[in-house]
Amino acid sequence: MSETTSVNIPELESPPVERVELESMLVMNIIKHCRDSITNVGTIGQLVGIDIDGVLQVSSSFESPSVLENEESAVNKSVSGRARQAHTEATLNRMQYLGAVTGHVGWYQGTYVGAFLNSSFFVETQYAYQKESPNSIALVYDLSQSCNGSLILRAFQLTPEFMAAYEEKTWTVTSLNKHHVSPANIVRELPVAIHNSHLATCLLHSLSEPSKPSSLLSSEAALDSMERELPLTETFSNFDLNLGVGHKKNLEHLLESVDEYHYEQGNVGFHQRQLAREQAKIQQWLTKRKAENANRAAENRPLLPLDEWKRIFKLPAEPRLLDSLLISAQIRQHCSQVDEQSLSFVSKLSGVRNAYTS
Amino acid sequence: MVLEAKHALHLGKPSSKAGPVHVVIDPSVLFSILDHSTRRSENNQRVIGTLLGIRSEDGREIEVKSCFAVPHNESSEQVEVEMEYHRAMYHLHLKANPREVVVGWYATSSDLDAFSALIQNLYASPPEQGSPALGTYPHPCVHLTVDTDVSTPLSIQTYLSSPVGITERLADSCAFVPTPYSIRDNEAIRSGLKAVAAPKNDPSRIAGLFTDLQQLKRSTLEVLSMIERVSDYVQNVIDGSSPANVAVGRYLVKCLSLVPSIEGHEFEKIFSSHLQDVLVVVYLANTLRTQIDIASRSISGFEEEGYSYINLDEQLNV
Repeated sequence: MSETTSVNIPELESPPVERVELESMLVMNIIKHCRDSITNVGTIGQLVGIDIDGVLQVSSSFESPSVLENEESAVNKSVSGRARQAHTEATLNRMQYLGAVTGHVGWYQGTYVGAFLNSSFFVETQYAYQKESPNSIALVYDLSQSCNGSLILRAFQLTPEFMAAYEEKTWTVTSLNKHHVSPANIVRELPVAIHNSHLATCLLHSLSEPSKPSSLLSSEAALDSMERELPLTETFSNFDLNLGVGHKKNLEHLLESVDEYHYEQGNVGFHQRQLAREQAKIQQWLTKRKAENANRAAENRPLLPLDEWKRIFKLPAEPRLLDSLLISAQIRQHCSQVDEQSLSFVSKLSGVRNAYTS
Repeated sequence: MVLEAKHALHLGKPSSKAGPVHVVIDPSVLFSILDHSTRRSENNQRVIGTLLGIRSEDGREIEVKSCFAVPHNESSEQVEVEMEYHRAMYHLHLKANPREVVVGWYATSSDLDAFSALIQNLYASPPEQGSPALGTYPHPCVHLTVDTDVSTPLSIQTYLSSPVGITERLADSCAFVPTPYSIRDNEAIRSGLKAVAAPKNDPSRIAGLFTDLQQLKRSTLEVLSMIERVSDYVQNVIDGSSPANVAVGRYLVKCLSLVPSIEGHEFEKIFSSHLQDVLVVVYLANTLRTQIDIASRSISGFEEEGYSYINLDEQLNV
């Protein structure tokens, strides 16, 4: 999968990444950054690590200046993008000075109910990263669904088909077909594993084992307080029998995406009708021309060319299909999430119902 | 003489401004410190770095939220800390996160010696004229030590300092007062820690992330094993083979009385209606997905119907 870069040094090509391994420090940093930042959506940061033999080992991360709301205009985007890049390079230099594992392997983003595909920011950034080093990934941390004891952290890469289609920059039907791009294969997800160093394992053990007070079971108060003390004690909060705020938000986002999709489809439909009208006009003109040519042939005069319709009639421009592609992909994501959430909820519900009716 | 961290008695002299009484540490800081300590160079026994965070309004609570490492060199006579590096990293950090300021520093050995006092005073000292603030002046500076010596269990201590001693040697002496600390704990951190702690009993120290259903299965199995243990214990007490403990018994009765008692058929009604709502939503979502797929196929089928520009030519030049 890795496309060769402009300098062809075969020894430096590494095999495509199949798995991602994260350090525990990284996970905690990402959680803290995304939770604490003010705008819950524009938080991004960079990942540092190395890829070995098809496994991308990410060892640490640092935060980048956040994406602001008014970055839609091209000017703002390039200014803040350059500032962010300068920040990244400076921080990487400093970290390398200390002997950190080198290599900028990707970036992470915090998102809400998995709505990261419907803005072109994700796709553009990931494209830029993947163009330079084909093994960069994007980690997406889902703020709304990482509750009740579950952690939703997913790693994505753009598929080579999508990258090829992106390079052409014209989002027409023909280019999409040529590269076989559909909403289902824009991004591919990589499995994520967590890796702890020895010291981190010690810390985790010490966080989960209580220090025993001398009078252990002499009062209930002691039992209660022992339960609450430690961050790693199991609370079984995933047994909660409500679908959570995340589900509702998911559905709201789904409806919004459907509205946007409708708008895009309206554009496509409009273009189609324009095209049909122009074609009808061209046909009319052509038949007139042919009739005239028949007259001229009868009178032995030179025939008029049939190609002039190209100069006279301007066909309407095809709309850019990138946005509707992204929105469709986003809708698919939302639907799968609704599926998964409801699945666990239905199992819990039927479990409780069985307990009561038996 | 260091007091136990949880039971420290903080005696401050009465002043107009209350000093900090409590330090809250975010677990990501601890992980970063441990990671940094694995990268120390050979001639240093410990590594140091800067702690960043926020202070509460009244100054009584300090929250430590992130950190970065600072290179330093230590020999038997002197210690050098690269403040230039500290300044540069601090500025970079402020660009990404303008709310966090310097609140202290950390070290990975639990000894407090003259060098610690020197570094502490360095961080707490006022900046020179005209240069931006780099230390914690005028606020007190927190010192966090994490003992990474693997022969002793991992211990974490936090200190605040107050100057002590006669004026000529004020720079390298200070009294470290231990301060109670707690680890920041909210739901997100818990879920993160739980995911990260999954491989802790595994020799290869690697574990994948679990989906919701797998988590549910694991939790259910755990609860089942806990119930088994409790029922074994109760059975033993009934048989007389284990001594009865009144506290445990009362606790169990309290837990069991939490089960609500509703009639079976009423439950059935409530649950069925809720279940149906959820299933309707799932069905609609799946229908939506199928429809999107069909729509994208029909767009890409554009070409086959001959509406593209390439084919227009051949069509019209019949």
